[in-house]
Amino acid sequence: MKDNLKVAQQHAVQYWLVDGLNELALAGLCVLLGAYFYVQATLSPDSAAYKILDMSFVLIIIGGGLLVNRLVQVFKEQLTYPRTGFVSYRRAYGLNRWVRAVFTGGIAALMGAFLTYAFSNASAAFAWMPAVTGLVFGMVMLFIAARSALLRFYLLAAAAVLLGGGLTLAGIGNVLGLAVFYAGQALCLFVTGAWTLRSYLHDNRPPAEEAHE
Amino acid sequence: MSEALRSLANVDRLIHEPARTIIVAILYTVESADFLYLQRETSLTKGNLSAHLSKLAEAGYLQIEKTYRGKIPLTLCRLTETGRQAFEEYRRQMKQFVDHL
Repeated sequence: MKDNLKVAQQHAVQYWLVDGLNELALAGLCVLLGAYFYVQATLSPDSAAYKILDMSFVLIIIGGGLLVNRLVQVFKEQLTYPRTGFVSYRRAYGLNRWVRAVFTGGIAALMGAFLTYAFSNASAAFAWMPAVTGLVFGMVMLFIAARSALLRFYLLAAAAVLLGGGLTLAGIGNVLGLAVFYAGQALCLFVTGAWTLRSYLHDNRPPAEEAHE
Repeated sequence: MSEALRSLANVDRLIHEPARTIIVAILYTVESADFLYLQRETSLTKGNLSAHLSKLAEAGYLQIEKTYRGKIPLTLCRLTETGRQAFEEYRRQMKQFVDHL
């Protein structure tokens, strides 16, 4: 019975990721970021367009994040909840809250250290941008993998680190490197998300269809 | 009576029933879950699940809310603070029993 309990609780934790919709939405955000960095790479740093694009980065991240959340909710209400039910999650508390705080702090410290290095060694630092971004992305995927015990997030973490590191080692750094990195991540997330969604829809028909059998 | 058997004898009989143990374990992990999710995870029939949920609600361990998500009716279940504490005590007692075996 103890195993059944562990499985049931693990399923509850994994349920938010069961349909692959989060990965598909994140893939869309990565496409947006890839396009953003690609356009930026083609512009002259002195141009007005470059400066406007630079200033709008935070808005794109925040706006993109909100849009991703909204899209995931809409599609879950259409596809997931009618098939396998609705679950809402508690905010982190106790030890979990501290683990998240330390993890977020670790990422912020890593980015802070990188930016400090970047301001003093600009050209060398920009070459490392894909590698650092890959490391941060990989850490986030690893965190999700550790919480959910889903293999595909371990693979996504490895892909992020390898892609980021590979681009930097290949000399494709700076903004163009970021464009390629996000395009690569979009592809990885699309593959895992689409595969997961396909499996989920195949295994879980809507209740109306089951009732007619 | 040994310590281990004493802890088992005092265990919460409401939670100790296998179907209700899984229901409470799931709800302990989340904020709330609807009837359909619980039914699929426990593989219970609608009537059976309803009966177990009612027993837990009568004991004050569970709160059942009938609501809507858009136009879709939802029966949402969430553990009360009493239910959470009862499950934590149950886990502690079972762990004590297993550790003494």
